[in-house]
Amino acid sequence: MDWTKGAAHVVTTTGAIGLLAMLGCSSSAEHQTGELGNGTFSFPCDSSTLNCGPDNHAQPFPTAVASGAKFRIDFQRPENKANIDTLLPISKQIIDIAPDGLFTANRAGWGGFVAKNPGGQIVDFSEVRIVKASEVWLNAHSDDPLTTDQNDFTTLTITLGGVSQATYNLRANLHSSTKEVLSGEVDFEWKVTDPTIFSITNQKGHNATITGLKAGTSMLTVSGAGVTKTASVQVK
Amino acid sequence: MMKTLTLSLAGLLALSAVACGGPHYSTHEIDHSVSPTGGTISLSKVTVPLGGAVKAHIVAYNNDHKRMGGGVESDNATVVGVSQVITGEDDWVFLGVTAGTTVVHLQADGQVVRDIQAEVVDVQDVSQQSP
Repeated sequence: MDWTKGAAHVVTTTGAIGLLAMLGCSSSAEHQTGELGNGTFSFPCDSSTLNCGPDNHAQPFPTAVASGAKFRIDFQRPENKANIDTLLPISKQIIDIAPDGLFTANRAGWGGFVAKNPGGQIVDFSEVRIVKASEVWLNAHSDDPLTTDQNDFTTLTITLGGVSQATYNLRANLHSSTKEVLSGEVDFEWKVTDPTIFSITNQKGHNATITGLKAGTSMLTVSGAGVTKTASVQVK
Repeated sequence: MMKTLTLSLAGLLALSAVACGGPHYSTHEIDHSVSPTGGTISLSKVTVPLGGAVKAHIVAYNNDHKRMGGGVESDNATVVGVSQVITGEDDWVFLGVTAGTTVVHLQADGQVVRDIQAEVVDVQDVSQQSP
């Protein structure tokens, strides 16, 4: 779902008041209040985000991130518009942070982080669970109105000559052993066994596009965060 | 003669106050503990999950039950990190930096008055837990 388009739609149908109400309601859901109550943490959207809010933050704040994934956290004190606090991981064994502020989930465990003021005092802290991914779910969406979206597919059929020129937009989502959706961005590797049957383009993070080229069947393999999913793709 | 006696009496009182120690450290009280990851703090042990944190309000009292100046230090900050919270000088956060054991020193008026065993526990499978 494209939230940006949804917000624009509200403007045209219910006016600016409706948009303001919607933004007001969503802002409380997409931020996580710190354990000390001194500020809020938010999770900027990336290619793993299923529900991206209108201010480009995940909605709601994720509770679990896949080990091996990368992610960002923002912190904001309510009275402090200029962000002077520094976010740091509690244990670099679990999560580490690069100079550009990008966190890496190194292994499973509690991924705690603290916001410190320039004097080194703790302003607030919070955490996400870092969980080992158990499986990849593949979802497919086509702009062709004659096709239906496929969730967690293992077989996919592409019809040549359709409205969408036989194209599917694919998305890979990581799940835990308890079927929980895991956040955090992974550079998935997308492979086709026979590239003359369909092509893979626009590979970025959790997303890719496949386009049918000629009739036949080939295998699609997607790998990331230590797990692999294989699906059969038939082009007809 | 009377003046000398008064001065001697005052000196004796001052000496006895020093000898008895006057108000001195009695105990620490720990409350308002916050740890969504399951850590605990008491006067006998600090337990913090690896990668998690525990916040606690820690106050030192003398034997008149008056507050003393407080302070908390970790013997090994690479195992348990200790930082003050901006909201109050008695609020501290204990951080599980690496798995292992160490000692946390509690201070009263600048002196270490109590040691607490501290442990960081490695909890790898958090898939079933919710913060």
